[in-house]
Amino acid sequence: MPTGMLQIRQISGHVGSAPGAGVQREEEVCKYIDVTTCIGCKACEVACVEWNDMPFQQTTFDNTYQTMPATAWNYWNLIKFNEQPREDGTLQWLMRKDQCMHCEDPGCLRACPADGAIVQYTNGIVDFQQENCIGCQYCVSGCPFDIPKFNGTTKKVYKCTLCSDRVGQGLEPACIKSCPTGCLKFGTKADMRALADSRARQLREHSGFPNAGVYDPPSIGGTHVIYVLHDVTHPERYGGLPANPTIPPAFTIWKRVAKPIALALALLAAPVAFFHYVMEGPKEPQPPSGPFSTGFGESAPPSGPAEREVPR
Amino acid sequence: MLKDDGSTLCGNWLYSGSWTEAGAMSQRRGTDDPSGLGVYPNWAWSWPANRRVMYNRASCDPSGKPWDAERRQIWWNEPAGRWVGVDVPDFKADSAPKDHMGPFIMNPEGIGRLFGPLAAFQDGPFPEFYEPIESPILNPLHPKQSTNPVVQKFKTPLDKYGSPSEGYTVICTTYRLTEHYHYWTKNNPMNVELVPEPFVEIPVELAGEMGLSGGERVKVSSARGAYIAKAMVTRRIRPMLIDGKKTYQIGIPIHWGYRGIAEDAGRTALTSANLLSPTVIDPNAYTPEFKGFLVKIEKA
Repeated sequence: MPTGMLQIRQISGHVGSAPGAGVQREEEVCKYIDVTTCIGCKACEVACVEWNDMPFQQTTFDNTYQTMPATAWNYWNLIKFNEQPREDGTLQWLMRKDQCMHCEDPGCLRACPADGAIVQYTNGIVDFQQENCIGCQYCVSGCPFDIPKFNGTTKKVYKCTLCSDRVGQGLEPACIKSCPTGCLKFGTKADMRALADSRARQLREHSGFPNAGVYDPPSIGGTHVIYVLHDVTHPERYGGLPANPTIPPAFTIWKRVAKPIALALALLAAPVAFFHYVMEGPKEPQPPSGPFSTGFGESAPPSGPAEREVPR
Repeated sequence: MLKDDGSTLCGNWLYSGSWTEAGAMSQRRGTDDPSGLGVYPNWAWSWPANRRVMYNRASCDPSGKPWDAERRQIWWNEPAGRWVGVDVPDFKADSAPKDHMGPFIMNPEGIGRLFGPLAAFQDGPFPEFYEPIESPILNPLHPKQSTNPVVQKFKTPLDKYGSPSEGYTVICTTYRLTEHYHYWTKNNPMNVELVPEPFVEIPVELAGEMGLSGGERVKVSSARGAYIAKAMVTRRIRPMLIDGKKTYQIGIPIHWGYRGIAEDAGRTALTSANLLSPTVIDPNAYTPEFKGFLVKIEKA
């Protein structure tokens, strides 16, 4: 995917540093989603499908306004609708735009064994490079938000790119551009976080939402997509947003422990081989022999001596 | 500042002043309320001229003194020869009370109207509440004339009306969705992907009584026709207590009927929601009465 001037920070399955790292400084970007002013019009869903040129797929009515149960390999952006009854008998109709969260510490990238299949740019965007994907789906298990989706035909995994192709050219993501209420905004992480904090404060102090807050989970180092929620103490009510998202420990062990040990052992093999040579000397050349002659020579006794042993 | 020499552009005069050298006035978020009356003059911008209460001259007596000295909107300042106050005066700012200019500046007589001018409205000079032609109750204000006597009705054999005594006890309303546009977009794949099929929104309480779960097909019938679609069982439409009786309302988005991607795939009935609604026309605004009529509902 053409990404213009984006610099790479991290590469999946890659030994050594990212090429060009530190050459240019880049601001970290962030998508701001104010759930409290979303009207569920799904303009962002259409913008995503159109910009990314995704094919039409037949959906079915499922007793909800939600387009489909979850995002798909060819549907990266989905408003999740939830009817949330309140204690006073009233109802809150929650609408949350679900897509890749672009974690600061991406579980998908950590899990991925294929060199260059997942990269994280210096601006924080986590992007899949399908030409390097081996279809192992480790990223699916590594994601705390259930975002990467496998396509059984191409045997590759796909997800929201945060419109890295647009951002690399200085444009906002397609979903942001399409939003009619302004509940979606795009900018630097610092600016969006400040805006989200001030909006949450406004909700707490002026709009009767004492638990309003910003969803930017520290358990994965924060995200490059942040939410303003009416009730940040119950993120799971917004269509299963995890309260404390974590990367499965197996992938941490894989990347931080098992992989360095394996690498150390692999590197150790060369000196061990050298010392083995010095101590034991070169391996003696064996007489050339095929499988038949070897089998004959080792298992069948030579006929000569056997004949000699026969008593006269 | 808007000029009348063609050097400035405004569009609609109402929005004059909504965008100044300081930027978009509608984006202001000042929460200060100097008067304590909830005026919030620096919160966003309201047309025209950032005026918060229209006709606010009416808050003063004829001599220009506020009727309520505790809650003062605007008042006449004699030394300055101007109307001043916590809001922008909706009045000729230098018109002194002794000139007797009326506060309702958009009416020729300058005063408010209880009795509308002759022939302004088809149904008389006074505002009045009437029940819809199909209503679960008689008008509690005047049961003998429950509905508007001069409403326009079509007079074909199809223009029939149902009543609660005939079993039409559920209120039905029709509306549009943000995902579709009239009847066109049911042929556009992207819109159909968002909302593929027609549905009827039904309160959970009514669905419970019917033994109905979401996704099952229901048949909605009025005195005029029937409509079959899948049920969306929701808590968003709640039962109402009308004249002491628990009354249910259901809702039908209008976007389907005849041909379309879902219809051609055989996933839905090929009828229009307007087969249910009555063609009854408001005598003044000519708005058809599609927002409130009576139906029966059963499993299909």
